[in-house]
Amino acid sequence: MQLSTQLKISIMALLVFAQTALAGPGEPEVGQPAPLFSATDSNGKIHNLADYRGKVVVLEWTNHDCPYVRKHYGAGNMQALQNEAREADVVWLTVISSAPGKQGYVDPAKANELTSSRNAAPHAVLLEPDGAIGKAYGARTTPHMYIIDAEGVLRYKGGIDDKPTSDPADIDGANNYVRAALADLASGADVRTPVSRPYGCSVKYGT
Amino acid sequence: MTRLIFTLAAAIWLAGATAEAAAPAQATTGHARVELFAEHAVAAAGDGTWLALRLTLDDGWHTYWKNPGDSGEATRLEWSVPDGVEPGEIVWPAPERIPFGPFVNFGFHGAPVHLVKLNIADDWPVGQPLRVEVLANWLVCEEICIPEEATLGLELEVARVAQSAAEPVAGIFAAARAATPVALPLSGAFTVADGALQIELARGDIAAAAETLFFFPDQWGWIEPSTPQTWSYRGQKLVGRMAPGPAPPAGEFAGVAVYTAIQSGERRAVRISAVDIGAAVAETPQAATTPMSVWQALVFAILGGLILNLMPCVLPVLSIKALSLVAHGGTRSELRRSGIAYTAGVLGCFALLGLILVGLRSAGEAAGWGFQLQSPGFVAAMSYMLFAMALVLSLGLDPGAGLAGAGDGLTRRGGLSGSFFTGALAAVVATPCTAPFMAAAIGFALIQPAAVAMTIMLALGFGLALPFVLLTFVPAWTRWLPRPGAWMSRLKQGLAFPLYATVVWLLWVAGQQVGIDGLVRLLFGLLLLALALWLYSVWRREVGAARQVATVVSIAALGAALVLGVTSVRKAEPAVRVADSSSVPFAEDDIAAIRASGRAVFVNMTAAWCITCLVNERVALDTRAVRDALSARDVVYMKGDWTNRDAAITRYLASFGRAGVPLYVLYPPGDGAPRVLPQILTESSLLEALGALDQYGEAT
Repeated sequence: MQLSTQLKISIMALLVFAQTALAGPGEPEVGQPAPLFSATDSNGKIHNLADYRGKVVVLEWTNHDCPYVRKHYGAGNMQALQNEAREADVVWLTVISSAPGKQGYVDPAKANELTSSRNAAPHAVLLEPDGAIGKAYGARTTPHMYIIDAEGVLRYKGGIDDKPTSDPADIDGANNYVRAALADLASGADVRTPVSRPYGCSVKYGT
Repeated sequence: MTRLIFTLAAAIWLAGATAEAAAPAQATTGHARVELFAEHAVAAAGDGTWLALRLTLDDGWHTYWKNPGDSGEATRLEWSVPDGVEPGEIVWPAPERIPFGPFVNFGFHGAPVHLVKLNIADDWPVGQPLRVEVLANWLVCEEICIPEEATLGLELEVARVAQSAAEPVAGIFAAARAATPVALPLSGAFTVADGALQIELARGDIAAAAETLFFFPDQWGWIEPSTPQTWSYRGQKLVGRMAPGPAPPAGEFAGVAVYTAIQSGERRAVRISAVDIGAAVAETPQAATTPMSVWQALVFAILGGLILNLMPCVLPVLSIKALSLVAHGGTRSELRRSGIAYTAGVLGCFALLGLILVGLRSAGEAAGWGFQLQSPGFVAAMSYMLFAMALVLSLGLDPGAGLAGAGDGLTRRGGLSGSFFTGALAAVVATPCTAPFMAAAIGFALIQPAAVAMTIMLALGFGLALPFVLLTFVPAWTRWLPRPGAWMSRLKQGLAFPLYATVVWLLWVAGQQVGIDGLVRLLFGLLLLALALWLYSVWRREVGAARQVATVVSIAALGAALVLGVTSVRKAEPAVRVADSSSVPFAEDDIAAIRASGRAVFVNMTAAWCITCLVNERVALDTRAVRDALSARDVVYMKGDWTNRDAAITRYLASFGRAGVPLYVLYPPGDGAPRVLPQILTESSLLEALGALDQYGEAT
């Protein structure tokens, strides 16, 4: 039993490593299978992307001190999206790739405190201070958004909307690409804007 | 009511506040000092002035360029100006690369100055001061990012004649202009194909240490900011390759190239723009600059086809066909039909070759003319076929006897199918003999859209078919051919010898490709082929058991010959070439370095199967006078061998608009323009070209 868990973890690590090495600073293409990963959330629970096959998954890279993240959380925009996702049975995974000592790095308790104080509604907050998943996905900014369909295929990557500023006043009237893509997927249509420019602070990877 | 009064009061207070507290010309924020300057103390109505917004950043902090790269946000300016005044776009200083983790941003450290032209209408009331305000938004980052903003204002005097501002403002503008990229005079060309974006610029425009060059694209998504770019000088071009981003450029591609200048070692920045020349011409920059018109190419193609008729490998085939006309005669309409069938055979074959070329090209293969001969299988098959044809001529075998195997059997069949296959055969055997005209036409064809490429290939075939067609359509001309007689069989036997010669040459090519063991297998195959044909020539006069034995042995020999032919190809190993001490192998990357060291470079692109190349080497390149001239001037003689496929050489050929060998390029020392020498070399023309190098020697 012990052995098999270890084996599983090694294989998973190897997979993530292989994907990181292959993708380098590149990234998965829309229309291709999204890189699989396994990560621990702020409650110590392990999440395998493969386990969510059959459901649409949203990945949100975040850093609570980044002005662009504050723009969307401060105005309740991100939480509104998370709640819409929850109602539509979409799995929303918030990912924190900040390395220890860097901006946005939090311990599990702080992560949960942030969730409750901001009224956030993610399915889970994944903590990966080594940045392996972020690099495998080519996550550059906070926020940086990805949508994976029920078959595990990447269907959207990019910014949360088309107004690349840190000004909350720009949320109204912006075209929210994530909301539009989720609606397209729900109606069985192709995602109209499958790739957009991600904007925000850089992800604070370790070296 | 109270509400209305309150609103009014607030409005009045706000108006008063703005009027009183006009925005200052500078401000200090958390991590920057920001200042606004005007280039003129008095601006001219009808022209205007330049404004400069300078952000002096804390040490280690940076702001972003208009394309911020993988993250970040460009500095933005929102102007408030009265009617009749129009601020332009920001003219940005040259950006720098700012890496984070595995990614890269584009931006500025220090004190970037953003220049903006302020246009003032001609009818601006002179003497009335002009107030401009700007709300500047910028994201300033070190490890973390902070959005900052400030509102700045300036009051300008306006008159008919401008007056420059005093120092230090003039110095700030001068320094800002020096930091602004200079626009290149000419557009380059770019293509996106096979997961790579390639941009090509005229080499004279940028004298960079190529490895220091980095290109900053104007827009997000065009290229991946973090992937390495490779830049190199190729011929007349500066070529950069980079990874396309999630939204590759279409139509236009522009940005800023920053590099270290070769001579001065200074950092320089130039604005570059390039137009899309399509995936089909990915490897052929010349197409964009020196296009040959389609009509010119068609004329060259027909001419080239005509010349092919005289090639040693084609002439015998044609002569046999012409002889059959003499022998059999026929009605006018029969003649005409056979002429049409022959043309169809030639065109069919060229169409097939064209399709293969276009197909290979779109599959991304580096194909060029003569590519067929890069395949040992094709060379082996050709040598078998021509050898069989030669034997048939030598042995005086009866034409039209239903000879199995070689294509010759088909060509000797009477009637239309015979004419068709003669045409096809003429086209096939013509391919090795790349006439100079044809190289240019096919070089052009290869970089054209598929339809044009096919048209040119067909024009080439038409040229090849033309003499025979004329003969069949104007029967009066056949009267010039002598009467049939015994001379005909002697002529046929004589015509076998050019064919044998071609076979010898093909075997030599095959030897280069498959080595001595493969060559011996091929020779044995030919021997068995000869045995089979000899048995056939004997057996057809025999009867009974002898005939049956002969048939069996003949077929067995033929089978064994085929097996040997196939295995000779499969066992192919690249032959070890004997190094030519006077030349060095082609290495494009070395050319610039050699020239920089003050030596000239002579590039010879050749292939074992290229007769023109070999002739040039014998009569011009390898002569004592030329060798002496090369060594007297310390010219580096580079030889590129295209006998087998070589992508680097194909690319190099394409950079000169060529799709085949030979190609001779003479680079003077330093960075003067290289000279492309004619495809047919003579000793005197080569000596003259080498002599012209001396002017460079005197200059330095």
